[in-house]
Amino acid sequence: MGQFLLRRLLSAVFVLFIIITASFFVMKAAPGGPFDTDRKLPPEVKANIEAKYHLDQPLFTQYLRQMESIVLHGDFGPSMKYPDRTVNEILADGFPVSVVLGTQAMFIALLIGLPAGLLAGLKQNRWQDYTAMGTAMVGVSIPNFVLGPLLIWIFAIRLNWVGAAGWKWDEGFVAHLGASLLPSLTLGVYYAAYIARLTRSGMLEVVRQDYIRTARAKGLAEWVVVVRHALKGAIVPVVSFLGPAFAGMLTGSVVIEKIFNIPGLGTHFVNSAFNRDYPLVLGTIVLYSAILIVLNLVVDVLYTLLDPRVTHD
Amino acid sequence: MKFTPLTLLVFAGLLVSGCQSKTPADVTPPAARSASPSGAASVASEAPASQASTGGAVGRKDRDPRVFHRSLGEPEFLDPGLCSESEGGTVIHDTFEGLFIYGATQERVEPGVAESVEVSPDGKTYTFKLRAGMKWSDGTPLGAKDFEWSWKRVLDPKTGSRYTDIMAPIEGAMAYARSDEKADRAALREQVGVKAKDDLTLEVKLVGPTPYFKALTAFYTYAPVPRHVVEKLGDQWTRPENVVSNGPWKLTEWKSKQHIIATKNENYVGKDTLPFDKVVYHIAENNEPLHNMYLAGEVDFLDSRVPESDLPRYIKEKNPDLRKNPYLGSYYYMFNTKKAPFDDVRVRRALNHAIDKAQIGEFVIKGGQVAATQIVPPDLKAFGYQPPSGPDFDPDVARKLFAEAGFPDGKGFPRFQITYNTLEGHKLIAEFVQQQWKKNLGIDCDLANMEWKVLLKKQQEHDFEVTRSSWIGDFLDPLTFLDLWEGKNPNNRTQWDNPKFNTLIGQSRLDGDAARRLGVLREAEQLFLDEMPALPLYFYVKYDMVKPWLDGYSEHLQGVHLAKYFKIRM
Repeated sequence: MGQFLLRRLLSAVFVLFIIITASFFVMKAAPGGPFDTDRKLPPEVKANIEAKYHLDQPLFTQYLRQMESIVLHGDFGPSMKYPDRTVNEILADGFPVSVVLGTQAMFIALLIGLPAGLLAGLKQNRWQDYTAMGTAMVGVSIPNFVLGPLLIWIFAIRLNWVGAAGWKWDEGFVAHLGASLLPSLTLGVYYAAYIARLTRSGMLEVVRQDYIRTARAKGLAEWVVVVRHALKGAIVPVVSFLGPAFAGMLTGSVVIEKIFNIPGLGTHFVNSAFNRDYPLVLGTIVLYSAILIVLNLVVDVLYTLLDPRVTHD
Repeated sequence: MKFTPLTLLVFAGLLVSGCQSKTPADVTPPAARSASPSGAASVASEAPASQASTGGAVGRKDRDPRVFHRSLGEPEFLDPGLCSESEGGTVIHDTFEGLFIYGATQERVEPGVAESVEVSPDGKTYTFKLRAGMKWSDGTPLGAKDFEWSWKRVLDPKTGSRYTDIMAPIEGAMAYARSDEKADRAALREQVGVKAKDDLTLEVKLVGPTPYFKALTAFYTYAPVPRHVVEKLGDQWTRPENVVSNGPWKLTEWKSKQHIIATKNENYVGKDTLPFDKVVYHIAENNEPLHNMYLAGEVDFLDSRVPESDLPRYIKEKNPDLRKNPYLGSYYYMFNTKKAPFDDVRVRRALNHAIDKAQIGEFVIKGGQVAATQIVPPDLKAFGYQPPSGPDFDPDVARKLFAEAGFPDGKGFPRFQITYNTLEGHKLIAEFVQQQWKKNLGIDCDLANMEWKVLLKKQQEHDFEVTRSSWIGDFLDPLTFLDLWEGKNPNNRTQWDNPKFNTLIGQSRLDGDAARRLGVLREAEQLFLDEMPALPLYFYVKYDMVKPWLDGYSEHLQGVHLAKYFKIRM
């Protein structure tokens, strides 16, 4: 296992290097620059601004400069769009927000998805199954840009129970919960539905296995059979989904962030590219790549713990 | 804190009684709104169904009338010298004060740091007298030297300001701002025509008589910045923990994508008459969250940002909160005048005659935008400008001109492209224009949308046939819409370079006689319309929403609404 981890970490570094290099040159190849707006700058003024950000240097020099700063100092430099803040600060501000939102959404997804899937799997083709899977189908089908505004309309505007938008982490637990419940729910529902379907199919496969029959034959109580034996096998597909799902929640929360005005990283990920804010583009790409790499690694390790047939050595 | 015991009680009550949409917050008494003598409230009282129409059955949540909640997009800069967009400008105009400041209405500016100004007979020298005893928010005295230094800082090529052009009227300004490293920048800096004569006297020498110069000093780029802080902290000086300013409020908190808070500046001369102790700018990139917060009673003033999807409904039902604000902006299509067949003035004019622009505001984007037959917005009439009458919608004339140009019934006209940046509104307009040209001239064109920066690049390289653009005026004078079309202006991407037009614009810059100068500008606009290098489509309007309890809103052509003119009525 140790060797496996080491190998994976080394390849991760290599992958990140490739990603930074490719991203750097691809984004420089995109037409336009950070200082192009509809109000065109006089060329002399633009040259002066570009000199300030070293954009007047040859491309490869810029690349080396950027690489050096990232590798040696872990510093992506100042944002070109928000010049009094560094990219590191922007990432440090936004990332925890995305993590909290993603974790809460994941919690909600598991809380709804697992029991619903278990129930559906155990009561196959009965009303419990149809209800759970019907609801899951609705959950997968309703886009978050419909669900989000609908929840806001009901709970913030009509009922006035929670705020319509914003992020209130610093204002105490209750305020935070009030502000983050709707976005977490909106983000989590799709995944809850997906997890329910995966759990159900995992369950259906496992309950027909011999070892379950053995467990039942031993006279174990039904809930022991389900929780101790069946569940462990049934959630393997769920676990393999959790890695990408969590990464998806962190990176794919752009729409949720826009609807609920949450200061996470998703919007920076998208807008930095539109703004040609080169350092911020690199910063978000590197961060997201690192997350994906780490989460995939975690999933691979979890496999070995859940399924004795999988080894990495 | 949202879950108060009361709301929990209500929650329990709802569970028992079944779900109803009425909550205790539903009780903004209509009487309270109609009782006020203010104009805003009387509008509100004319429409009793107002509460239902905005959807939000909600009163003002934060009942402290000394805190003003307004809306904003994420600003780039809060540094007056570097800012180049209205978001940052909104905060800067509340936290800094120039020689003059914007008035509550668009027609005038009010004295700010300056108490008076004297203009020399030739209109080229402005002598500002500053009020005595002015201070920065940290108590440091503020004087004429601060202005001299701040303006030269904007022009300093090392500062990297994107808005140096707004200082073009000042003598020597452009030579310094556009100098490269080989130039003797110290000497050029000396030659910039701004000089502190003494602590309270600032003398400004201009290139030519500039009737709008006094108003220009209200613009954020002309605001003073604290030298003692800027030199010490560099780019970091505008951070809330560092910033020192001279306006009514002072920045105290900036949470990116959440809010900006400004609190009363205790060293501000008029601090005792300020309507608020605190101004909170709620920040969101999209209109929807801010609009939702407005409906939920968390925001008092929705500064533009009315979602396009809700606007037509609000207009139709005459929502009493909605304010239509004429806005100093033109939306137009540029022709590539060096590319056949758009090099033929008859073709350009025909294409203009063939569009029924009145439909745009009514049926296409449905925001009540004004059809544009000229390039200068009509609202500048209030400032003495008489625009020439522009060409109307006339398909017969269009077809005749087209036939003269060699394309009878559109036959033989090459298929071409309209390019625009990806946005629903631009697409709707392009589709409308495409259909009008097909219907009235029998020609076909393709629509190509592209990402904003890609489009800009194509425009700058003249790689287009017909392309979308727009212009927001910098100051209340027709020149801001006309010098755009000078041959050498970097924003004129049509390649239209008309010597007579260039001469007229140059002439207007030197003419000290106000009436004659406006006449020259009118002549220039007429020439532009005759030649039609760009096709005006509509003039902007800006929609705001104002809660019934907020007084002091008034229309402003440049969309500047200083917090100091508002007041919350309890």
